[in-house]
Amino acid sequence: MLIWVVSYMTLGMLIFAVVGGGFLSSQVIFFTSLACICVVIGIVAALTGVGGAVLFTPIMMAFTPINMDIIRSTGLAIATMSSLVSSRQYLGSNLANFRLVLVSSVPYTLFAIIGSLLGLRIGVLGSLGKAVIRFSLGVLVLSIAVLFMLRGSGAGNLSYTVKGDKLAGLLKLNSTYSDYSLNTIVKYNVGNLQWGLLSLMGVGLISGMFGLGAGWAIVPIYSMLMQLPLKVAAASSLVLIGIGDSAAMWVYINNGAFIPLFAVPCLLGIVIGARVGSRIMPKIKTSYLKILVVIVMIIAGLRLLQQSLSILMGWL
Amino acid sequence: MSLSKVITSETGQEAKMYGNIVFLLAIISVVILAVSCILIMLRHSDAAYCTIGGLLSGDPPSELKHCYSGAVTSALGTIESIGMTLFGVSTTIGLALSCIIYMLRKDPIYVSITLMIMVMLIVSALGIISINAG
Repeated sequence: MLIWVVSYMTLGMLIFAVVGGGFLSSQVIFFTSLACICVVIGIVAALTGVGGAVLFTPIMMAFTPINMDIIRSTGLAIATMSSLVSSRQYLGSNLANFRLVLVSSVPYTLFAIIGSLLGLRIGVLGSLGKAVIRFSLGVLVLSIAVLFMLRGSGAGNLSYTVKGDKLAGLLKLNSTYSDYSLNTIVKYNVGNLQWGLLSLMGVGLISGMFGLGAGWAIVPIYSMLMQLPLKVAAASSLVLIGIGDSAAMWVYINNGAFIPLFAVPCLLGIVIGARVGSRIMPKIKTSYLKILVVIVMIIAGLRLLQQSLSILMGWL
Repeated sequence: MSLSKVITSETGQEAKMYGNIVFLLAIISVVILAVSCILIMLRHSDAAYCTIGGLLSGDPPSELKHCYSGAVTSALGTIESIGMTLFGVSTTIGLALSCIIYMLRKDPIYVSITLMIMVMLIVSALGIISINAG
């Protein structure tokens, strides 16, 4: 409720300031359009289960002239913000496994920092570096779109019979959660911890480099590799992203790539959109929206490839 | 035992503390950032015009920082910095409080893990490992 009220009030104040400041120019149109676009992205992200940053970063990079470092830092801020406002609910209800999040944060955070340093370093190489990033992001976005199309309903089941490995036992990661939909307490063990942590290194690297949230990768790692229930996987993933991506975000902030005049309407738009989306979700058939999201991601991915190939071909 | 009682008894205090703190700090920081943006747009429209124009032109961050010049704009820039810093350190503060709870519980493993993460966050925040992106 608090975030709902605060977000609406601050967005209202921003719009009032823009109109009251007497701005009548293309910049004003850009500002209000930006906020509205982010509200739509937030709604779609909430309805389809795709992270806001996963839609925001490729769309902004593919279809706007804004500098990619600024877009990536804002993408990380969006992912972090979504995590921070959701953490309270998921941790309070014990849906997110906090110990697992802390253990996972070590490799994820370290490689998210390395990823953001790499991303900035590659960008410094001029048009070639930017083309490499665009090309890589285009390939990644197309892969995510395919993954999104192929993933199942993920209903999960109650019998998590995996034994759990010794390290998970030593770290007391095995736990329970209360499933209200089934009115029961589900016990689960954490398995393949070492492989999971290894995978999180790669995910952190990608997240930091491209300014994406990493839920699309962390949830499968948690649920399929480490054998967590899907709800626990999704909740823990969200908390983990807040820790790792805030570290990666600092690298961009220290390079001056975080521009509040750009980031604040995006943050507010995404948060408001996500709240609206979660409210209307029970009433909306999301299957068509998922198709739309896949189409948008494919178009954005192809556009990124198109933008980068001409430069890369010139260098080859 | 009802589900809600199970949650109350099993939910770690450190997890709840972390969740509450980061939520609160995230809200406060975004409000501060929004207020600073509003003040810049109302008081120094030239800085806002310059920034938004630079964004639309695809200027790099090093060019955009020249939009904030003058004493008052610098002061508003300081308010922005406070908002950004608070947003960035919210997880560090949340982890610090969780670490204290783990210390009180005499759980050295998670004290170490939490401290490790905090060190990474602080090193990143201070820009000790940084890169000049131009």
